[in-house]
Amino acid sequence: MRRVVLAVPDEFAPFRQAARGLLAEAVPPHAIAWSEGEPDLFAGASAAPTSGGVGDRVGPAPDGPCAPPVAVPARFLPLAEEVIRHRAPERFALLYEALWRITQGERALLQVASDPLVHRLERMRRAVSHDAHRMTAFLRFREAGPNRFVAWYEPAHRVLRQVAPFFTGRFAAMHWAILTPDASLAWDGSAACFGPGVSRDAAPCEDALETWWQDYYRATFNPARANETALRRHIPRRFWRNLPEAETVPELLSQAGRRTAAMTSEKLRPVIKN
Amino acid sequence: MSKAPSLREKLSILADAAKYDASCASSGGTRRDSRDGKGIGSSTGNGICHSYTPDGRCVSLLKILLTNFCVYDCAYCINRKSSNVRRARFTEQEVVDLTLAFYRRNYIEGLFLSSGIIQSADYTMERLVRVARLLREGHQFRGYIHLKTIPEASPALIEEAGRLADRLSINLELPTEDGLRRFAPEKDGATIESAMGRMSGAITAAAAEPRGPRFAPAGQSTQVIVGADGSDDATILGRSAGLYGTHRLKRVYYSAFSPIPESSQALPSRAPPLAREHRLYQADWLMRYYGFGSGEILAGAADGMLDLAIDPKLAWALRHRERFPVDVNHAEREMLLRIPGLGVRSVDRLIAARRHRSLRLADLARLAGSERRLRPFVVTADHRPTALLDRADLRSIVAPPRQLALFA
Repeated sequence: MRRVVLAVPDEFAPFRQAARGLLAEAVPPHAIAWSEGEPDLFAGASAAPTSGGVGDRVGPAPDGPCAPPVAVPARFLPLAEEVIRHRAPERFALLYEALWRITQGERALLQVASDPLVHRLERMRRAVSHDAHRMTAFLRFREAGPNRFVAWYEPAHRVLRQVAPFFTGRFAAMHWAILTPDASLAWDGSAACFGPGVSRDAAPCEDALETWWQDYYRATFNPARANETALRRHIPRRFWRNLPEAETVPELLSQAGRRTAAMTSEKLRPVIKN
Repeated sequence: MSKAPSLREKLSILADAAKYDASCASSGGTRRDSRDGKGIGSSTGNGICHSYTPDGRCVSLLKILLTNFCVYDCAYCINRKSSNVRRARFTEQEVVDLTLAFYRRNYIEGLFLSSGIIQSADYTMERLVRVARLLREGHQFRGYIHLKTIPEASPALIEEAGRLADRLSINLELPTEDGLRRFAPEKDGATIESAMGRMSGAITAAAAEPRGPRFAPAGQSTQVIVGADGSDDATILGRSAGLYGTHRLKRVYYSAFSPIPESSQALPSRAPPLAREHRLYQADWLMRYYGFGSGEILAGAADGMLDLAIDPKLAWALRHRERFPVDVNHAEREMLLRIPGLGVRSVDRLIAARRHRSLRLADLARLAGSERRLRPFVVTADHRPTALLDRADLRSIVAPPRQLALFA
């Protein structure tokens, strides 16, 4: 049994290097035990945000022979780059199994979405992609000074690098930091700097504008349409504690029935002239 | 007369006044960002819902009215002249400041600005355009802007609105001329249609000239209120098909007529089930993405209404059993799209996969997420539903009673 320890759990480059060596030696998937070591993302690393987070310079490469590149279909790379950010420990083994089958003659494997392995990888990719999208949606900045903003966020997967270009492109002229339990990202208006994870109390605990945002959230809700099931489907519970508007939800839902009844009460309906 | 509302009160009043507009989409804008360091904002082309209200509706844009004072008296509208609702008016600068403050905190994708009609159509439209101009030119705002267009406003103002905004919209509100006459006496169907036609021409012309001046790159949309007048679903879908065809609308929004405070007695006192709105959206998707003609969706249905208990594609399949089962290993894309339970993306992946494998039922289950609904309608390498399609209780097999839970 070959043991492979990847020190950087969410970067494609170290995995690629390890996989090239194993494929060159024709080591079959069942003979490898993959595991992740301690994250060591921050050994002086600072990746340009436009790299999309695939910076080869980030993270130490694992030991091993410098194996030749393996020709794989173009769609493998974007799939693997996202799957590697998934937290499931089996992601390395699944990706290697796909590489193995592709290089053993199943060149078109990834086009067969109905294949159990491809199906599973695609579901993992979608989970990561969805999680990254949610981070762009549900992250909230709090003002920490003039033109300085800080956000605390808890992604399900390791998607900070994936969303970095979104935030640096949108809020380029602001100075801000995004803090997560795994990693952090600071932007000073010109360069992005990745750092270690921090705890929640490193982020500001309030922003004066949040009460305004809650006012807006209350006002834009139509009590006649209250539907808690639909709300929970769109915003699962785990996001609520970091969304300032979420604390208004119980009150809005509990009052919805009474407000709707008042609206439809006949006494309040003046006759309009024709 | 109560004292003038504070800015924070105005936000509540004018967001409340705007919430009956169903649209909150932020998709379709040109891709852009502010990496040049000059302004703020970006658009990825795909919309982002930054939150959801407790009714499950997307909150993507700051959706407010500039003012809820209005000279019109549309029966369905909370802001109509004869309503006793509290009135307020933002200054243009206040809207700009609120938009930017919310945007910087990542609450929103941008602004959806509409207004009651004050003084005149041009006077009001000028103020909407001024907000967009302040954002775009004064602050280099690259987020999303959706402006409501007033059909009677001068073409020059609409031209400028189109240059500044990602999306423009005029709400039709009532699907028929008769409905408009009864409930929105100051609105004129012909004026609305001709304004939509002019905007459609400008959108198409600008899209053909990528280097020329922009005009509403995310297109135009409209809204139809469902259940206020007596229009059935077939009428509404026919109207939508006409709008998609004639004016190339990006979206038609369906808004189930909702009880409002201070509502007019001209209106029904009961709201239609929200499920009806949901089924209309599904039927709308069938027209736009699944190749269904508007007349086809309800062909064979008794009363011109969509079935509330099952989705319109399944209802169509149950009425057209002679078209099934479909052999998924050989059928054309057009027919695959008609199989209940198979979406556009699943169909495209199915077509790619079958070039390399002969598909079995388990493969189909992985592609579609579930096979229970598909089973009676498909032939695979290992499955042929001989008797299922002839069963009288097929509907109860493929349509579980819990399907409606989300929209009850």
